[in-house]
Amino acid sequence: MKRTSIILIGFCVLGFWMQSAEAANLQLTRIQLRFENNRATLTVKNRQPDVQAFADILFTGTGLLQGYWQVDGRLIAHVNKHLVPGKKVTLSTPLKPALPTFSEGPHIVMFVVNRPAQPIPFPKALYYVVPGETPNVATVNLTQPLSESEIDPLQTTFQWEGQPKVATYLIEFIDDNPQKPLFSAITEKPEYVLPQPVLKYSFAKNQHYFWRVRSFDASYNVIGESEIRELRLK
Amino acid sequence: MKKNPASKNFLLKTVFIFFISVGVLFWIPSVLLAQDPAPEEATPAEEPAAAPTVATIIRLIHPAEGALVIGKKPEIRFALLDAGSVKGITAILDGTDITNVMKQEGAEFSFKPIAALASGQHTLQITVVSQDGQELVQEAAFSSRHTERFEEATSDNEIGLVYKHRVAKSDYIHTEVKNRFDATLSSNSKLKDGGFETSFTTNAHYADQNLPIAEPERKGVNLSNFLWQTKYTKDKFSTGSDVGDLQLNETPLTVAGLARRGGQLAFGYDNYEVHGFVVRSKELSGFNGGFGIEGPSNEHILGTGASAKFFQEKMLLKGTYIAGGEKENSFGTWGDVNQRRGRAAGGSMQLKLFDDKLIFDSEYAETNYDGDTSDIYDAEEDEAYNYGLSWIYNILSLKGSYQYIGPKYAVIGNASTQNDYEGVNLEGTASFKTQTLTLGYSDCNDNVKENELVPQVTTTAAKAGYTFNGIENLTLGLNYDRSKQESALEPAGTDPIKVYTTNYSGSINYIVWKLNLGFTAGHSVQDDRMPTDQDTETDTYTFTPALTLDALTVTPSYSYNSTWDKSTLVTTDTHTTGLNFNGHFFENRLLYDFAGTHNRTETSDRLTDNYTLGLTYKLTYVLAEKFGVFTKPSISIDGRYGSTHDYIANTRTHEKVVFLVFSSILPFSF
Repeated sequence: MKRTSIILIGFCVLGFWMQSAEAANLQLTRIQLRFENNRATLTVKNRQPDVQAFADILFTGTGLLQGYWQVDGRLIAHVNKHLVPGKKVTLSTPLKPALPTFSEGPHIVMFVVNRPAQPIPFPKALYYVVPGETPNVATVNLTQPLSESEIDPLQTTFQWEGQPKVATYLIEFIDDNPQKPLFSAITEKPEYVLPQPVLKYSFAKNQHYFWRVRSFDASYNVIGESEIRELRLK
Repeated sequence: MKKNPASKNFLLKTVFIFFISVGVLFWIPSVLLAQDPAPEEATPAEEPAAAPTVATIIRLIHPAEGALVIGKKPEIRFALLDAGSVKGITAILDGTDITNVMKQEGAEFSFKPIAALASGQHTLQITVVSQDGQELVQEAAFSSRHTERFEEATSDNEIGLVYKHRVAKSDYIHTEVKNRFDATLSSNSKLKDGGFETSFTTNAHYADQNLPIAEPERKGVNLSNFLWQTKYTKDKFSTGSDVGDLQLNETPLTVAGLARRGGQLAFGYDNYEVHGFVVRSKELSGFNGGFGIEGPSNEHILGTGASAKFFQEKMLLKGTYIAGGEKENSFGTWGDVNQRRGRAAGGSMQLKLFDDKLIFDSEYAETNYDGDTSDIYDAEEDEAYNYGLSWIYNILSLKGSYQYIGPKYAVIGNASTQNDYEGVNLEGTASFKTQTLTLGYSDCNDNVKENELVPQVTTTAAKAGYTFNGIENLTLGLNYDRSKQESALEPAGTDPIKVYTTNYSGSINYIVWKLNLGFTAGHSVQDDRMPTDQDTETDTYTFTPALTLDALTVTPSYSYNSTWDKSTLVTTDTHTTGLNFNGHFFENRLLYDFAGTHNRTETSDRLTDNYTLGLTYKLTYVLAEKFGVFTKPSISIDGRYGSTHDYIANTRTHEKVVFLVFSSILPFSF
């Protein structure tokens, strides 16, 4: 086995290229880095969550792909994956932790391949962090009624845990289309009771519905979202 | 002899001028013909034709029944004429209960929308319950528009300013900037009136620093991206144009997910639509390349497409034709670097039956592609087609597809298209209340034309997946797949291929209090049954707990990867430990962020043993919420630290860079 190791000391980079006969069968033919916008460049706001990069890889043969993701020279995750012939393979940076977005300016993402050993000028993708505020979307914890409860709507108070810095809550009732709620209500308190006139015109007995809550700050940015719970009206 | 691609500047310029002309043609009449609405309250308010009993209790003050209101957040006011006789009151605006956020002053109630009210018709329903239990309902309809000229007119913009000054660095670093200034503009604007609608979004960027800037960035002003969309709709007719950074999706076998700069023009009538587009084949950033429309044809992709829906939109037919050339790879791509050109034509059909529970898809496409226009070989033709069927019945979801892609099949602008492939895929999912079971089977082969010079490799795979979420806050997942690659039609002197690959993986996620605990484990074996016997095995374990509090988020992570190579009998272990956290003190005045990774790699043959450590951190103090026109002017310490240690060579490195950063934002909306 022939083995060469090259130490690249850029900013905290140590990469190893291992050339071995066993990897000869697998050959990468194309690597395309992109973000969710299908481009290799992306503009994001400061502290924007869940930013990911993707690598679309075409290859021939069978074998073990070894590599790692790095951002600004810092290794963030290893990839070991057996590739078999068929469709192209798409790899992604992890969501936990996601790509860091707290430092304004350009950031370079790379997927470095250790195996198979190929003299590849590894492609780069660039995301640019701009100043701005990205409100953290927290989880709104629903308390009552419990999921899949059968309720008497006139006797039921919909409740959830209050959050700091909330200007208003929006409680939405859904029948089949989450994009188009059947009925909603704005409230400043973390609770709501369905008014009788609404029950008469918008809801039917013995039917299943869903409900969820979103919270907004004073600038009407979404700062909290709950799960969707199912209920049945008596 | 092969022909060089002729420059078609004239055609492209004509298309460009056509786009602009059409945009202007639709803009001018819509502005000229836009009906000047009467000023607020100018429309005579008709007395609500309500029952006398309602009129004696509720008086709608603003807006009046049938009125046209100018403004984004029109105030709603009404009064109770006889508050003493009322036991309860409910006010609903467009299906949203606003009772709890109304302000009450005496017998008068008012509400100011929190967000801009969409233009158009609105309904306000006020229900009062009298002391004797009688329910009285007053309904009022009114309409609103944002300005007198436009139904909707919004522009949200934000300028960001960042100045970085390096205050410390390791002595031997010579490539880190001393000073850098960035200004960014994020803009999102929209105008709408009648059937006319136009929007413009962009991210523009100015950068300057004491050292040269690496591609794709440039010094000076640049457009990171932009998109100008215009649409006009009247009855069943619609037309629209898009100029800027487009996302093109024609059919899966031709153009799919192509993100390029250019222009697109579309016309539609009822269920029929035709469109044409021209985009630069290289991904553009900044002003370089202009609108993506101008320039020679061998650097562009031109296309046209049409679609039609029949039988209450149950059947969708699509057709597309594209042609063009590509000179070089885009930023972010490594692969074929030859200048290439080609054309493709495809047609697809989708049929939805039984309330969309049975869906049939099919597509056929042909290509003519020259992968290297500088060599002596001409373009080659090939074809691809697929059929798919999906069926949802009760808790069952079944999918099946067959696909054939010829060995010479390639689409210009869609270099990630797989070719030389033929296979079937079957997948079934059963979704129970708290459990989901998925089974899959596939069989495919390459060398579809049975070329005698290469073997034909058949891959047969089966998979099974199971998820369980029957315990609150707990999700469990198990996956298994096994594939077999076997060759046939081997040329003389070639060993047959026989490889088995098996993957096992499991994941568990549990949420308790503010903690989200995630654990995944995977084991993968590739069993090489050829004489070479190059077996490999990998194991991966990842633990990612996350704590989310109001003022603190902590995301540690640990990942262990191990690979074993039978041909060398070497095991390689990597341990990757990460820690990310961020939070704030003093009501968001002091913010901190940290991201760090420690990685240890060692091999059993002791030829490799090293670690890397990379840390980035930022401490920000917000000087004020507002300072003149500036929002949140801030000062930060932004630093990075890295170190490496090779235990075999006994070498160490340490690097650090620290910046002082001033930043602020200037939001302006109208």
